[in-house]
Amino acid sequence: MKKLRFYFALFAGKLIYFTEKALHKNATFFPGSMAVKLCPDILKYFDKPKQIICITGTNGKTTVTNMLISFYEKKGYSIVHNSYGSNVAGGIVTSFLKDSTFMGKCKKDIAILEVDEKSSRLVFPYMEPDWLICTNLFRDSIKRNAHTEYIAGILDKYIPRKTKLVVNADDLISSRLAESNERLYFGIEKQENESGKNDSLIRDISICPECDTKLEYDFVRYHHIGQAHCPKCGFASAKSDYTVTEIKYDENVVAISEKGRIERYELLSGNIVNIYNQVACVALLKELGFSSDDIKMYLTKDSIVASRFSVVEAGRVKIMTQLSKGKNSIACSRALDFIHHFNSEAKAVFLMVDDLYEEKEGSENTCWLYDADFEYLAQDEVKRVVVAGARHLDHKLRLLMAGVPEDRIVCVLEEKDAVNPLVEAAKELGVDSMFILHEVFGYQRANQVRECVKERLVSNNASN
Amino acid sequence: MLRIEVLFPEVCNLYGDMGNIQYLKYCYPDAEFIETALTEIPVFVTSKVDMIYLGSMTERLQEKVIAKLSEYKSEFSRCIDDGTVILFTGNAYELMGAYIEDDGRKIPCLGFFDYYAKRDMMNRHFSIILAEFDGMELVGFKDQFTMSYNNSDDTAFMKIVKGEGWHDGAAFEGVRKNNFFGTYLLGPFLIMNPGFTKYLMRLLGDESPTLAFNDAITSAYEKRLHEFKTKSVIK
Repeated sequence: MKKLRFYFALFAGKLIYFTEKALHKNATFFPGSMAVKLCPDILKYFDKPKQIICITGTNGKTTVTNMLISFYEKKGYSIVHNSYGSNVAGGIVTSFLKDSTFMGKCKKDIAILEVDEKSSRLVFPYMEPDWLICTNLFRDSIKRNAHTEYIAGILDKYIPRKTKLVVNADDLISSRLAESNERLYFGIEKQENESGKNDSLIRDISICPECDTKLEYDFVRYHHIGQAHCPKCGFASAKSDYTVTEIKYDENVVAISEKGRIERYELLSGNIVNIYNQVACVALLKELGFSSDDIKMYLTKDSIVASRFSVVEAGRVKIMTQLSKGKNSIACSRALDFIHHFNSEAKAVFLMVDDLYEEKEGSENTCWLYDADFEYLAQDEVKRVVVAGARHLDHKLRLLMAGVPEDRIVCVLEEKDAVNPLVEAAKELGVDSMFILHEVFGYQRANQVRECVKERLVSNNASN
Repeated sequence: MLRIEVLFPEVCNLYGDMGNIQYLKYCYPDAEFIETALTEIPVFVTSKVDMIYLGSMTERLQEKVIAKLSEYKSEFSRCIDDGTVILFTGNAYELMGAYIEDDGRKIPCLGFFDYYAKRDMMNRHFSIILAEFDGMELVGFKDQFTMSYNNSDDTAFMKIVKGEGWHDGAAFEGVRKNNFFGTYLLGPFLIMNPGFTKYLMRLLGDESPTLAFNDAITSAYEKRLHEFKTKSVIK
C-alpha cells in the first residue's frame, strides 16, 4: 500500500519538477516538499546509489559538498546531489526525484548530499549514509537552532549506527557526535602565533563535559576550535588521523599528515575555515581509496563557490564580497576576523547583513550582534564602516560598543546609498581594500553595490 | 565601588546575554565585575554585592545551575530580601519557579515562586514583545521551547501590550520581587531598553545615571519601539 503511495508521490513530484523547469523556476525544493506531503517516508523507497556521502555542520557544509561533487564529476562519476538546491528534506527528495526513473530506480553512481543539521531527523531515518562529514557545530540562528546542545542532540539521535563519521578533532562539540559510531578525525596542528588565549567573544564549549571544570586550551584557533583538556579529570580533545601540519601561504602549499605519512597539496584557499574543509575532503577521499595524485588533480579551488567570496579590482582598490550569514554570529565573526587580518593599511567595510525576511514580518531579533566579534573592526586600518538597512542603528550601537570611533561609522537606510561613502573612502581616506559583507540571500545585491562602486572608481581614475 | 557578580558566564551566555554586562561596563567603568564559574562558590554567599546577573543556558545546564544555586538558597533569598539588584534573563527566569516539566518529567527548581515552566522541545516559540513597566515601554524578543504557568499577577514584572506573556494569552510577563527581576526576554535586554537600564542604575544607588552611548542607544530604542507598535507580532 505504501509502495503505491510512493509511486503516486514520485509521479506527482516529477510532474511538479518538470512543470517548474518548463516555467524556468529553480525546482530545487517545492517538488520534493510536495512529494513528502503525499508520502512522508518517500525517501525510504527510492532506489539508492551504491554509495551515499552526506555533509552536515554549521559552517562549511556547502563548500565541502561542492568540493566533493566537483571531484567526483571530474573523475567521471554521475551524482545525485543538491548542490544548487535546498539542504532540507524537501530539497533532498527533489534531488532523488530528478535522478530517478518513473519506477524509482536511481540513475546515478553516487549520492553527495548536504544535509541541514536540524533536518537530519527527517532524512536519516529513511536514508542511511555510508559516510557523514560533520564540519563543525557552532551556535547559529537563535530561532531555528537554539543552541549547539540542541542540534548535537538531534544529530546524536538520528545518525544511523552504521554510518562512518568524518569529524573535526579540533571541535569538542561535533567530534563527540554519535560516540559509538566508527569515525575518522581531521584537524590542523597548532600554528605559529596560536596560543591558549582566545579573543573570540563566544566559546560554545568551555567546561569539561565530564566534570564541569573549566577546560584548558592547549591552543585555541577561534571560538571553541582548538585542542583542549580538562585539568581535573584528564578528558581531552581527540587527536586527528589526517592533520594539516604546515600551511605555506606564500608557496600555496599545505602539508597533510595522513595517518603519519606526509603529503603536500595545493592550498585551495588561504581562509582557515576552507583549510579545514580541504583536509576533511582529503580524509574522506583517502579512506575511500583515492590516490594522492587523484586528489591533487581533481580536488581544486574552482569548487569553492564565488557566491561565498569574490574579489574584483578597480584600479588600486580591491573590492571583496563575502558571505556573512545574517544572524549567525560565528560566520559573521569569521568574516570580520578575515578583514582584521587582511594586509592593508586602509580598509572600508560595508555591512549589509539584515535578515530582510524577518524585517518584513516584524523586526529582526538582533541578540546575535552581541555574540559576534565586531571588535575586529576596531583597528586603525579600518577607516570607514558603512551600515545599511532597517537595523542600522542597532549596528551603530554595537560598533560603538566594539570600540569603533563614531566618526568612522556611516549609517544609511538604503543599500544603494552605501556607494557614495565607499567611493569617498577610497578617494579621501586612501582606502585600497573594501569588504562587502552580505547575508545568504544578499549575493546579488552585494554584487550590485560592488559594481556601482567599481564603476565610479574606474570612471574617476579615467577622468583623473 | 559597585560590585556586580555575573553568574556562570562561561556557560550562561547563549543569546547575546553578555552584551548586558559589556554595556554596564561602559556605564560603570570603575565598577568591579566578578565572573563566577560554575565550579566556584558565588561571591554573594560570602560578601555583599550590588547586583547579580544570570543569562540564558541550555536545558542540560539549567539542571546543573539549579543544583548549584540550591546549595546557596538561603543566601540568595537574603539578597532578594535586602534589595540587591538581581536580573535573570531568558530561561534563567525559570529557575526561580517551582519546577520545569519536560515530557512528563518534573525538574524541581529553586522554588522562590509558584510558577512552573513546560517544555516542548519540538516547537520553538518566537515573538516580539511590547510591554509596560513603571510607566515605561519595554521591548524584547522571545525565543524559547517553554511557556510559564501558574504565575501570580502580584509578582508580575511587566504588563503585556503586544505579544505573548508567560504563555498564550497571558496579560503579564516575567517576575519581580523587591529588586529581583526575571524575564523570558532574551539577550541584550538592558541595551534594548535604556529606560529600564536607567531605572536599574537608580536602584544601584546612582541618583543621576548617565547612559553610555546615550544618543545611539536611545535612537535605536525609539526606532524599534516604533516598529513594534506598527508591525505585526512575529509568531
